[in-house]
Amino acid sequence: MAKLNFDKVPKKDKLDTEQTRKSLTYWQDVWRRLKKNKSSMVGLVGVVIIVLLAVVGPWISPYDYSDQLSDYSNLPPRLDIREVGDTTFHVTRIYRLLELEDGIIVDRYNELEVDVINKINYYAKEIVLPADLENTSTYPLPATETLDANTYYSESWGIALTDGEYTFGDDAILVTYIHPDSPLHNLEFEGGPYDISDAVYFSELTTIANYGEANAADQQFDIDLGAESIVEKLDETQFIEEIRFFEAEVKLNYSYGLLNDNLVPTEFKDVDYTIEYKGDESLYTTDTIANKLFYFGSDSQGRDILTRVLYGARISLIVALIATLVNFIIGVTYGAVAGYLGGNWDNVMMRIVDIINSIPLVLWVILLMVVLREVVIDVTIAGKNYVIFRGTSGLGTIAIALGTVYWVAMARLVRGQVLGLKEQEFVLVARTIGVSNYKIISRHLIPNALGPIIVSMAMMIPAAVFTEAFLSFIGLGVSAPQASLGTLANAALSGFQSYPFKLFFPAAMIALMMLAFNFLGDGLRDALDPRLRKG
Amino acid sequence: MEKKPLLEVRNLKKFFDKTKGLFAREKKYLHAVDDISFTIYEGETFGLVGESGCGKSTTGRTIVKLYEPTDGQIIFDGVDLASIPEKDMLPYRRKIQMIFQDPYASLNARMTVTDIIAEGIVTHKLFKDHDDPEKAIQERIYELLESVGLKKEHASRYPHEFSGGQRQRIGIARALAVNPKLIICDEPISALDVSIQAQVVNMLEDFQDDFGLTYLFIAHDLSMVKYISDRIGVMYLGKLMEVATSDVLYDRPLHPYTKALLSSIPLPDPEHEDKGKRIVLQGDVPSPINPKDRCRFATRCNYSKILVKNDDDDFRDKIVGKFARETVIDHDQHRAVVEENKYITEEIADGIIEFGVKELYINRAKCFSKEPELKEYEKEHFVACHFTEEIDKGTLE
Ligand SMILES: Nc1ncnc2c1ncn2[C@@H]1O[C@H](COP(=O)(O)OP(=O)(O)OP(=O)(O)O)[C@@H](O)[C@H]1O
Ligand code: SF4
Ligand SMILES: [Mg+2]
Repeated sequence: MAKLNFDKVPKKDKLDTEQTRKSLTYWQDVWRRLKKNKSSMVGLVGVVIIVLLAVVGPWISPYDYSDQLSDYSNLPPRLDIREVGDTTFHVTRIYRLLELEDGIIVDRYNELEVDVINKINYYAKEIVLPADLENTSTYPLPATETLDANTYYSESWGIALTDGEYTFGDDAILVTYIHPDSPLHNLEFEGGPYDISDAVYFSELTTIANYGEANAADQQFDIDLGAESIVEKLDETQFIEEIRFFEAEVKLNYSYGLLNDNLVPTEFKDVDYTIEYKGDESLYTTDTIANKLFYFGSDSQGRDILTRVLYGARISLIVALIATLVNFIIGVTYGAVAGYLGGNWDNVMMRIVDIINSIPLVLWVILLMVVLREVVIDVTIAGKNYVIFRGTSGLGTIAIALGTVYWVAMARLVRGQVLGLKEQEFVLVARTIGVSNYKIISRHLIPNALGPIIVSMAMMIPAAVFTEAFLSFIGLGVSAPQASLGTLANAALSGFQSYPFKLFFPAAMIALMMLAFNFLGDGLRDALDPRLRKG
Repeated sequence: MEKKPLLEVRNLKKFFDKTKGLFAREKKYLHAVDDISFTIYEGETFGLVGESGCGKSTTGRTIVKLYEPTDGQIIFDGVDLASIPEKDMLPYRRKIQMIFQDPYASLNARMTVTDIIAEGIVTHKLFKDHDDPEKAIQERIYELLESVGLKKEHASRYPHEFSGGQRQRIGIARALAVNPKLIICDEPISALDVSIQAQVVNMLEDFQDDFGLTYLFIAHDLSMVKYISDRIGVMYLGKLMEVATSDVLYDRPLHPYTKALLSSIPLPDPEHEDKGKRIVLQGDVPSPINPKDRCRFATRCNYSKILVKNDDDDFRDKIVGKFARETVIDHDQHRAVVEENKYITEEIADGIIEFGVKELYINRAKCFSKEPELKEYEKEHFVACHFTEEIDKGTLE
């Protein structure tokens, strides 16, 4: 007889399976199933990243969505460069000349004249302006300086120069007063002597009269009329980072591309234009480099597309949030109440839903836009005025439009669920026990319908995002300067041939959002309700 | 001992409106429960049996006012629940509890066992005077769980972690939690394995003794009901057909429907086996929508028709004027169909005879024209049949 190769386990060694088994709640189980689904995890990660970008991105970006650097409009994310001697240039599509260092725009050359055969002579570099400005109300005067009468002061750049005293030593200009935070504070410029008023192109130079009393030791501007006007100007304007005077003339000859073929000299047959600088000439683009000023390029107003795309994503998410809230608060409640009360209540409530459902969304949005255009709602809290709703901005109107109609599908779904659930025995038990209607709905019906609710919500979010983008795209939604993805895409349409990047980034963002939400939604559906699985 | 009625159901009706469409010509009502009366005495178990769809559950649910009764009275402890508006029902809701058939559907899958059982306690604020109500509730739940044979550790689990039998125990614990007087058990065991059925029934019996409970025990299977019930009501198509103590009902069923039901139970007891031949019910249960005024059981009753043979001299006289049913009227597979509930006129009778019909079933006029009332035939033995006495004595033609 074969030897038994198993023994009876003594009772004390038996595992008490009843007590060691870990119990999974419904939601733990859902999470476990969701984790197993690769595409939905990709979607989840995508959603999280998009949300993070949309929330944090616009904050850390140096630009605001509406900041315009109109001098740097339509710059692509990668810049074609030409090296002329030691200097690197990028020529924009409208033949603007930018000097680059490591992808950063150092200078923009001011175009002086365009001659008959389409040559442009650039003379002076202009001043690079962009930077953050800390707003302070008064600035201490530099301790060593006294502002004399006849100090020059530029309205547009907040710079004050002492008249006649700019020959300091041999070839130096003393800039008597610049914003004290500016690195150019008390900077000396070499070269010259220059007639500052010519070379710096101050648009306006104002002489400060009776300024003699301003005492350096005071450390503060005296509140006398002239001084105050300077301070104000300095507050409002960005201080100057760099000031230079032209070194050499740059010539841009773009006549080749425009000439008849037979007129183009043979060695220049495939040349679009040439750059001539300090005796060197460049015929061809040598390289492309990343645009470090605007990573996604800039739009026609010189606004940063990256910032605007992130901002657009933020608006899309706001719309998604509104749609979700409305779905949850109105849709679920309405549907649950209609389904639970049943009978005539249900009839009337569902007819109302039918009516709302029959309004075409676009028509509804147009109507709302017309009606709400003049409406501005604001509140004053603690002395500060907050605008809650502004009809012209479009976002509020879209929110109202979606809010009034978007819960309808959810209400229907929940009603259907509740109609089925309320005949279930656990609900009947609750009723025999005497549980209140409110508790039956909130503790029995809605929690049991939550699976389909979440699934439909996850599907509804991308639909809402897309609706907003679509409405904005056809000009009904969020309007400029606010940047919705739809508005951005619309704005990119003109000049699409020349600047495809302006359409690419917002379109890619829309696509990514849709993909991420749909992947997540599919995964949620499979995880929450395996019976609904497709195919 | 004087028996004190706990629940008196008087002429209870529950009709469901099945009218389709806004412009339907006539209203269609499904007479799920149609004028039934019975009494349940304190401490007893009243069994309610009948085929599927006969209105047992509807009766139970109407008593707890899950359905608003169409008519009639539900007198519980001297108070007519039917006339109490929903908002004043709360105190009575504690006293009547219900245990349902499907142990899977009767527990909310999103709640823990603790929450499920505590719901009644919380709703009726049973421990509100306690120093630490939460702890008292928890203790009570442990106690209940142990009394239905579950463990403390089960309290924090979710229903899906339990077997059907365990779930039904949780349902029972939930019903017991509010110290009810009457528990309506709607087929509490028919979804369970046979081995577990007995456990649950025994447990219910134990609780009856321990807590002085009264049961309304609904089932479609007579064998278990006999075991647990003191008295039994037999329902058919929304009507009570026979009410008697369970012994009497088993030993001396008088209603043809009860007889048929009992004969279909395979009995291990040869004494009973001998007594009756198996009666097979023919045909389907007729529609409960707008029923005609006649005995509900008439279409399937073995006593509701008389066989008349052509050999009889007065064949013609016998059939004229009587009701005829859809009947096989000759053995050559010829079927003459006479519409239900129509008198056979002289012409029809001539036609039948001319056709060479050899035998014909004739409906008893009484069965098909008038609804029998539930009458006390003997003490505590109620039967709803026009021919109770004849059937009892065996004198029916
Ligand atoms: N809520 C309702 N609405 C409409 N008709 C109903 C409703 N509940 C029950 N009915 C109908 O009432 C009749 C009686 O149903 P009921 O559930 O009481 O039967 P039952 O005896 O409990 O049957 P079962 O043994 O199958 O549980 C059936 O014809 C059923 O279709
Ligand atoms: S009244 Fe007629 S049909 Fe009804 S049970 Fe009695 S004999 Fe049968
Ligand atoms: Mg039933």
